[in-house]
Amino acid sequence: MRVVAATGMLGYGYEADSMRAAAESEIDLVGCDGGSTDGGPYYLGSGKASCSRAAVKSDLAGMLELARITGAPCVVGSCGTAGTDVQVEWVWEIVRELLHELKFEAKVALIYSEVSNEVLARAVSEGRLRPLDGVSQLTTEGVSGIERTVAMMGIEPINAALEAGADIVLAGRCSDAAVFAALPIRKGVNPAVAWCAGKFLECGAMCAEPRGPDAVSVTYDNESFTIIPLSEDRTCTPETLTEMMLHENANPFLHREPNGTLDLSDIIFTQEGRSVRVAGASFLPTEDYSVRLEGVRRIGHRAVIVAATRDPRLVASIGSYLAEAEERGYVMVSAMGIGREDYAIHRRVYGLNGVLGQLEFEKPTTHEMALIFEVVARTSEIAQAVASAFRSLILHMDFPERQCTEGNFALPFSPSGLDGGEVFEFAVWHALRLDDPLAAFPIAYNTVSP
Amino acid sequence: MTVSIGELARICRSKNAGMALVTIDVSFDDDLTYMAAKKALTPDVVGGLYRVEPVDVKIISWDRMRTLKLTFPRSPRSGGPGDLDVYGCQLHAPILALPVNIEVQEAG
Repeated sequence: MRVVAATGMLGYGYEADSMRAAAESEIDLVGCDGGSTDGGPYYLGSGKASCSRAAVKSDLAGMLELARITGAPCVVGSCGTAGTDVQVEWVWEIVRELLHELKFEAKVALIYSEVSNEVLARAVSEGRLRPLDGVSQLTTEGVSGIERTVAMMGIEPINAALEAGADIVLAGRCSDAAVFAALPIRKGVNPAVAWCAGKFLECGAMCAEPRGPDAVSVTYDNESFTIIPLSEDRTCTPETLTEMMLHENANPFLHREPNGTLDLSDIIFTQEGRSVRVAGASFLPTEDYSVRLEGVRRIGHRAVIVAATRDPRLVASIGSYLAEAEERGYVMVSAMGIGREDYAIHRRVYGLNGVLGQLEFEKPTTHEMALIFEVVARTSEIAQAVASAFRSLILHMDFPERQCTEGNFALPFSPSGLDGGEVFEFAVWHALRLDDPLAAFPIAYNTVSP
Repeated sequence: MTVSIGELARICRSKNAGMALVTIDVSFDDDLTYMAAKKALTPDVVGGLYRVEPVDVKIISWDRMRTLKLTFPRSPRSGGPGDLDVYGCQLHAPILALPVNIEVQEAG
């Protein structure tokens, strides 16, 4: 049994030679993780993808070609970054285009993962929601403001689709490891081995040295698996695999999946050439089948001003200058008839503390500073109006012993008020207890015969 | 001898562990430096550096891999109002700057 992960995220790319190498052997699955919450709440709220259509299509082209040559099914999880219905269909549209271009007949399964506010409200009243990572419990009032929520599926819906004869599975929000664990478990691989392999496959060649976007593959036996990067120039090592265990997890040893917990406390790595054999994983099934919900609410619209100063006296007094500008700005905006409750401003000063904010401990030693001035408001029009008012103020406001009386900041763009798009924030981060692992994930089938 | 973690650690990195938590991994090449850092990085110290309650700081020490993992709540959450770092990957500097005491054995 051999599984290939094309790369760490659909759209990040891989080396042509690596995929060519993959085609030379028998493989049972080619998979790729298509999304993440890494990039913040925007993608879930807007339905836009964080990778471009061109990048995603390019990666899918190689994966579908590999699937066609080897006869292996292809699974993509968390399509379109957040796995929303619109994003699943966005990837489906690209796949359909490619199937016609490659003249490849295939049965395609689309697995949806959105959770309506009605379902959320019912879950609240039935006590089936558990807050994660210290967030507060969801209330019925809280649910009404939610823009969109997805549930992170496990292996069951993917296996249902494969069971139904799907050649290509495009899944909504999905556990990263489940993308790669589903088929092997269905074919009888020890779940502990399959889940553990999935954990390392999901980031592609980020688990190898040198790190990078590229393909890796895994072969399985009863108690262990062997992972190898497909590029001859890369090597997996115990250190690189250890970093994967640490990656984005509060606990490197215990990883909760919908149907149980993967325990890597006793993991053993054995270097074998460019590959590493991994043993010692265990999987503890749970009675409490639950899926992680990710949901966002809409906050408003953002306008951004980028401005930089090279004036030594302003650089030296930037803190007090901006504090005064802010106070005057509020008065100015109020006089325009815009209420304080309709907008919020956030300023970041690079060269001072733009990255760490209040946590910064170094004193500035710079000759220039950049200000990113952000307005988030109920509407785009209000955001732009507030940004414009503050821009004219900071450009021209006087300060003690000012020499640069024509303007305080270099504005690099015309227009100076950039449209920062819609703004969302995470509002659901809860585990939902399910009686039926399939009930929350409807599957639609399409056959493409070019 | 007092040295900063930044001069000792092979890896010192931060990243979101989900949208509500930040996790920081610090890895060392030898037991002497690892043990010195392990002693220095307590919940109180980490809480002070990142302005979180010590009780909300979870520290896992993986002795075999000479790695410390520090996890605590993000404020704001990823992409939340005024967020400076959506991915949470540039929060490691306060750890780099932290001084630790290394007990150096005198030769002979």
